[in-house]
Parts: sequence; C-alpha cells; structure tokens
Amino acid sequence: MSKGKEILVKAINVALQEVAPGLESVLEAHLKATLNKGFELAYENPKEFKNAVSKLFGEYSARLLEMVIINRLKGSLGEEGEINSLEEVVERIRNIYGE
Amino acid sequence: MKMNPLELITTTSEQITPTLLNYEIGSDIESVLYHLIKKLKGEYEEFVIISFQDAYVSISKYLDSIYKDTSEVFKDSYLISINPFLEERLNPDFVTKTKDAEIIVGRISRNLGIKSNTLFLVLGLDLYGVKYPDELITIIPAIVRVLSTGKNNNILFMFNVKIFSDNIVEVMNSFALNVFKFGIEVKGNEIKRKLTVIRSPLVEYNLRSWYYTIAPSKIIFSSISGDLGL
Repeated sequence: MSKGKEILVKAINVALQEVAPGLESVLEAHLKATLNKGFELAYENPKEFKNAVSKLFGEYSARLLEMVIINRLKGSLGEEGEINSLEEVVERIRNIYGE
Repeated sequence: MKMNPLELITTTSEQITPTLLNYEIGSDIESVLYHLIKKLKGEYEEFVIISFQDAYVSISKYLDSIYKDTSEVFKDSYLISINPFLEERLNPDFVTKTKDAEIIVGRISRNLGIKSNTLFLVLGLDLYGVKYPDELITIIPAIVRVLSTGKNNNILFMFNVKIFSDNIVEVMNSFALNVFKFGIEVKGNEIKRKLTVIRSPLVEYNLRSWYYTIAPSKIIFSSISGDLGL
C-alpha cells in the first residue's frame, strides 16, 4: 500500500471510531459486497467511496464523515487554502507524496 | 396513557422547546425528521429551516429517494442557508456566508425578526461545528436565544453529539429541554436502531428505549424496557 493510501485509510479508521464506533465492519462489508473493495477505495476513487457511504448511511452522514476525515488530516496537509472535500484531500496527499 | 414514541416527541416538543434530536450515524434520522415534520408542520403558521453547510439539500435528496411526497411535506418552508454551496440551487430565501457565529446569528435575527407560532428546524450545526469547532460554543446559545424570542415556537435541533468534546455536549444538553437519542447497536453486520428518551416533561417516559425500523409509510417501534412498546 502506498504511503498516501495508508495515511488516508488510517484517518478513515480513526474517524469511524470517533463518529460511528462499531460501523467500521458494516461499512467494510458493504464496500466488499458492492464494489469488492476496502477503505483504500477512498484514495483510489474518492467519489465512488462517498457514493457507497451515502447509499449505506445517507448523504448527510456521509458528508459528516467526510468532514471529520478532513478535520483529522488537515494538520498534516499544509496550510494552503481550505479543504472541503475528500477529492481535495486525496489530491493534496498525492501532491505531497508525489504519487 | 400509552403514547407512540413519535407522538411523544411531537407532543413534548409542542409543550417545551428546544428539542434536541441527538442522532448517531446509521440511525436513519432523516426518516424520523420526515415523519416529525409531517406531523408538526400543520400545527404552526410558519415553518423555517435553518441549514448549515448544505445540510438541507443532503437530507431532502435522501428523502426524495425514499418518499414520494417529500417536497409536499417540506413545501412552503422558509429556507435560510448558512455557507451553502450545493444548496443555492434550491433558491434559499436567505443566504449568508461566514464562519463567524455572532455574525451568522445577527443576520438570522435581522432577517427573521421576531417569529411566533413557528416551527424551526435547525440542520447541519454539527457539520458547521466540525469545520469551525471554536464557533460552536458561541452559536448554540445565541441561536437558541434568537429563535426562542417569539411565542409558541417549536425548535428542533438535529445534532450528532458523539463527535464533539464534553464541553460542547454539556452546552447542547443544557440548552435543550427535550433530549431524544437516536442510536444504533451493531451486531456483526446488522444494525439495530434504538430511540431513548433522555429528557422530556413526560417524566414517566424518561430513559425508556425502543428499537425501531423504518417501514415505507411509518416507523415501527418495539419496546425494550417496560411495557410501553407500540
């Protein structure tokens, strides 16, 4: 697993433990069953990951989870501009790690 | 008298306000909101939605995919959008874009004036709080004060308490006179949704819990503690 992917997957795990403890396994099972993927999908295709989370928990909760993930990572993504989406997080990580 | 839990929420929210709907992810709070608004809206002259960070557009999109009459249930609402991006396509009645809690509440106050006999639905305060955590402690009491100024208002807050620190939880709990928790229990890959009455003026119901499932036209509750299940 690449460094950037590892960082994002870890942040998702931490965010889920904070926001929805116990739901990691439910979300993991949902991603596996519907897309044959794990949390790494967030790095590979953030939009598809968000859609999958929305289908399971609703769009509002998906947005809340997205914002918590952004919040957990913002200290390590530099100070340039505001980050509002998972897509922007992934782009920023890719730039930092040259992936 | 036995009361359906949804009826309990509507009844108590009409008696005292504000009401905190403390939800967890997976609790399908959007469907609960839909049924609550459907029951309560007709009891008030006006219906005002205050939506932070595109909350209303997210919720209505989800409800649209489940219920055919979502637009009917939410029609004629007065929509105030705070920091919208996607929500601007709904043509909100009032838009403000700033992170500053005092400015937000000041603008809401100036825009609304003093409303009476109004149902207020405050959405997305948790989204706002995740993004601007330092502002939350200011905005909660300020917004409660502004919306409570008129007579016979009913204020519903949908808020995920779990993601915030203890001081925010304390502030939220101290301002909410009714508190209902919509939680979940996870067993393997199965989610069980659970409503608990934390605080209400109908004290005989306090700390009672029900499991609930969302059916196409209603919410089905089954009792966990005591004999009040319906």
